[in-house]
Amino acid sequence: MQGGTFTAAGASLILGLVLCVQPPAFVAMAPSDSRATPVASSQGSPIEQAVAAYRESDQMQAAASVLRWSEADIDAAVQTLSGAAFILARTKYPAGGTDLSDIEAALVLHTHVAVLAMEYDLHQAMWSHLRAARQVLALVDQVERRRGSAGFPRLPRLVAPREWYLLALLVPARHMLIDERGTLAAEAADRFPLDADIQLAAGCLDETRADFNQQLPSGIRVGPPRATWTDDPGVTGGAAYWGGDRLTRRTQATPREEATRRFRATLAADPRRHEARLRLGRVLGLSKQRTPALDLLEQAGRDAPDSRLRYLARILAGSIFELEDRWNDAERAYRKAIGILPDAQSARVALASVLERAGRQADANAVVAPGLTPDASSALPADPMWTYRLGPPIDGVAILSRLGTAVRR
Amino acid sequence: MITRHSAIIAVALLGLVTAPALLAQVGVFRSRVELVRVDVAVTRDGRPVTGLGTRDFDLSDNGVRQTVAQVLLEQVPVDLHMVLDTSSSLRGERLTRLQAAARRLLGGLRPGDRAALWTFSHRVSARHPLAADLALVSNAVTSMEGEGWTALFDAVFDVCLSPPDPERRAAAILLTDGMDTMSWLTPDHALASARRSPIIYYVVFEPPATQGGRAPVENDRFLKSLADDTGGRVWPVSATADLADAFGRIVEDITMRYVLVYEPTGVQGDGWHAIDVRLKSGRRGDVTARPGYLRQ
Repeated sequence: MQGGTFTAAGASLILGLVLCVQPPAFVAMAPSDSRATPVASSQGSPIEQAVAAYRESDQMQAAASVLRWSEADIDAAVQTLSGAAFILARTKYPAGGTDLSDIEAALVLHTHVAVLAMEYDLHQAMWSHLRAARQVLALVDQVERRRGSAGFPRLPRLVAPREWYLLALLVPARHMLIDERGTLAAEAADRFPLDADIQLAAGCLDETRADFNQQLPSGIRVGPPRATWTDDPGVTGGAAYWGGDRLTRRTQATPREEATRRFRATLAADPRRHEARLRLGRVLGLSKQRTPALDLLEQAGRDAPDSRLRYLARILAGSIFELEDRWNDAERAYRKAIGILPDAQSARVALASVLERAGRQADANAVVAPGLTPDASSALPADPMWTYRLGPPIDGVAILSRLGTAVRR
Repeated sequence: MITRHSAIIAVALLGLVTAPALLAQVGVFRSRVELVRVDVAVTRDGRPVTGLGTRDFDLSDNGVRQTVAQVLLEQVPVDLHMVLDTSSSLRGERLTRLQAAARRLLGGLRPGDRAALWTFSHRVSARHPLAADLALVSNAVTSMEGEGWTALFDAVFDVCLSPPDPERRAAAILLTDGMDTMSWLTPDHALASARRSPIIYYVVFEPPATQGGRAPVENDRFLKSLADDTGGRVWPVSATADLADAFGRIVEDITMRYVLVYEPTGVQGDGWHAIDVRLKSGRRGDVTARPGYLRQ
């Protein structure tokens, strides 16, 4: 079965970035007992305290405090932050949503709860709060439009839409949720057509969706966006090209075409994005455009500064060579991948499979054996192919780092 | 250059052993004679049938009746690979249950048998190589824990690459919920490799609760083919079933299998050889065996 511990490193990074915004002055306010009141002046239930923290002090400081305070009890933390976010939303939205800073506080809270939930594999809570944050985001847009038309200056954002979308696109998700993420990807990519990060993240989800559709039994495809996601303008536009539903074939090709479009857009925005190059190569390879695919993968395998991307480029090239029955070229490509990351299993399995089919059983065993040691599971870095198959970009950590900078701004 | 053609004809000959390996055991075969060894389970009402001999079996190779030269039962030691899905669904009580079942399995082996422990999540690990000291393997069972995704097809492939020992029978018990999410290889690749390997797969299939007790259709087919094509069986178990009891019955089934030995007669050529094994008329029991082998 699939699980969620795999991207804990990325999640830790986000959480770390969120926590590191806490200034020294606030540390003094935090009680030594980690379960004590987060803000000394607050009274009432933890939820009320969290709300008070948001209203009475700097919102980011309060968020950091609440997260730190409740780190020892994740369930209480999620409940507390969740309650605070919904109270803020409930008390402010009906009033007309004019207090943008409080609405944004709710957005921050929901987003932070989502991050916290992701860290602890609470997938349902994660998605619940990402959904809630998205609704708040739509409200922020409405308020901004009203203010804009009335000549009010734009208020500073705690979490700008671009950053929120990036977070939503980069958080891990199980395959069952791919449809919802796909909808987000479409919407984000349409909102930010010139943003290389957004386009890459959205393209990755398109690619994953295409793969997922291919694995399903004939005729069954990932369905259309759920009703809860189609409330806002933009989603319906995205849904138009997602299209399709169960027992139809309409979506069979479109995710791959969309992925191709988005990876090209990424490269147009920033030619140094080698992950987009190798992913484009892979998608083209599966679309039987193998010569341009191999050119792209060769370039990525040669020029990418990140060893994980060079590894992926080589192993993906090997798989295309296999499709063309170019066994020697496949073997060479896989050996190059092993040379780049000797401890990664996928390239070893890929090469061993080629050798085994050629009757070279002993050679195949010699190739896989070094990667099977039990110590490897804890001591060695993850195989980039595992991350690749999950959808989010390999560049995700770097993107999240930039996202953290944006959140601190 | 490796061509598709050479890749096909270069595969190992399943179940084919050279004479020296068996000469030591039975002492009646000429050297340099090819002997085919067929691992067969015979059950009646789900329990192994014992006491059968050469005159109890009908065997044909590519439709040509063969003479079963020897039937071995307890003389051939077993190499048992435990291949356990330790993805994130294996936690808490389920892990404890599996560890107890694995120990029961090891306890059912005979002196001279060997066991190995493999686990797989998104990473495949050879946690303990084949060893006659089963206590060491049992210790390795204790250190298992569940995390991550599932590379079922890659795990089957890796196990199939284990170097065969022609003097022993090789079997694997594969416990999984059937949901592959992370393999590099396709199910077809893994199956083809399993057909070329001498390992018999017993598949203990525990359907995931999230799928309403059903694995995706493709994976379901994979597990069934893996068992059928290697002469093994599928043992579906529920989440509340007594896994130790299931493992105990499987190890009994494995250790009570017959090995039929014959010298192919009247059949020529490389390629796929279909085998048909039945009990002679009048004998009662169900026969399970590989459907055939590839001759190089």
